[in-house]
Amino acid sequence: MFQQFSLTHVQFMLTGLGWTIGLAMIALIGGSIAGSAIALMRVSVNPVISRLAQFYIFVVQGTPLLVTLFIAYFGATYLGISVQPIVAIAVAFSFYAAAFLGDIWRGAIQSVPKGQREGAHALGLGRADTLIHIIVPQAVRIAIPPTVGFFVQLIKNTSLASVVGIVELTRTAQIVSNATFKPLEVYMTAAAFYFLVCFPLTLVSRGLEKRLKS
Amino acid sequence: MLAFIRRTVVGVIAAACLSSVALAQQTTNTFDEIIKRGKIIVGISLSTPPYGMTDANMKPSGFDVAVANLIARDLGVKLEIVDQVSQARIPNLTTGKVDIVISSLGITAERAKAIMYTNSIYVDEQMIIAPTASKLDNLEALVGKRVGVTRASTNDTIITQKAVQGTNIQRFEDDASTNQALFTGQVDAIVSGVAAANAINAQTDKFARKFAVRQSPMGIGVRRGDYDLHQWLNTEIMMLWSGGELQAAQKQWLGIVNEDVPRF
Repeated sequence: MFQQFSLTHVQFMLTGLGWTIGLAMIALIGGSIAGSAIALMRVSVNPVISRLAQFYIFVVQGTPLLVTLFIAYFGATYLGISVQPIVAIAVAFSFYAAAFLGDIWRGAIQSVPKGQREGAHALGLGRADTLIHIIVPQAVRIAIPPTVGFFVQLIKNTSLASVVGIVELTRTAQIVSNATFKPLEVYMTAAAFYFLVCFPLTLVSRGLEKRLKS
Repeated sequence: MLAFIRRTVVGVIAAACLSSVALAQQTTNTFDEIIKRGKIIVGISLSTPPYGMTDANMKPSGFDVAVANLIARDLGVKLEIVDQVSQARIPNLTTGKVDIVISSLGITAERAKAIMYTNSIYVDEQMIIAPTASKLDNLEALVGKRVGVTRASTNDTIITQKAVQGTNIQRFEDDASTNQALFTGQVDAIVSGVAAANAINAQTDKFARKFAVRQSPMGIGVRRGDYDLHQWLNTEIMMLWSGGELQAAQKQWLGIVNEDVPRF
């Protein structure tokens, strides 16, 4: 009844890898857009807007992603909305990523020395111009390492998508492991796949950092 | 600001109440809907051999899949299988993501508060499996031993309930991990179904069944209130049993044929 761990299984796991990469892209894009908004709200001079963003970050960072996903998928039904798994994932992951990226980028913006801002004002630049031309380019360099670190984490977190019925890499590994009873081989293969996706990202981040430094 | 918060909260609650009323009213008859859409959506965990698993071509197979196929055939509709992790089995059903759950779902009074069960399709026996040489003949003998079990399964429920104080229960994510823990000696014994025991014995004779802890009937999960579908499924199970098809599926996938299945 049990099968040998074979190429067919590896191919099946590759389809799971496809889902993992797809989910990660959705999370990265959705999270980056919402995260920029949160970061900008957080550095706003209007205390209400800033507090609102801070409250959002507190709530989402303090909630496990698995719970957010459960609420987005199963909870929505109780409000009379039927959600497709992929929609629930896009919403939950974007909310989640926005809270972390918003805080990382807020930190990066605020860690640009105050003198830069004052200098820009002295030259007659407005708030928006200062932010776009002076602050953000410097903040980007500071933000790259923690951002990539978070992206790598996010890719691995997509394994939670199996609770809403998406057969991504970890779920394929579970299925194959239970059909072959070879957990060690199967999970090592899955680990290798995750590494192949995450490692290049780390390399790109290093390259970017170097280029922006010089 | 306070008034604003109060207004928002009241608004949200009102919206929630209204929509739940709407939801209650629009509760459609799942049975009619299955026939209308020409497809039944069945939740099955594909990581629980020999109940739900994948064959050499990575297509769903196993006992639960075989039963689902028979049901779809007799309803005259197509079958759509939704793979689910064990913790999503009941939420998937209660929130309408699937029509029914056939997922090695042990019948318990606790679970029956959330969903309805059909008559039993298979009665498993929960066994203690340990190295052939060890002398573990009863629950008392397990005191001070490490006993492995798959988390949130009925095996887990029963051993947690019945274990004598001092038994060291260790919980694993799925059956493959539980079995692997036994193979590698990380636990002294595991609690498992007969079918899983057969699967282990197909690989090695170093491990043997020691004693039965309890009988565990398994049924099909139906949403509460879906009486039409529930009644049809019970009729179907009775027909599959009297036609010998249920026994054939048990024989093929589980290696055991029940003498009878309990009905209520």
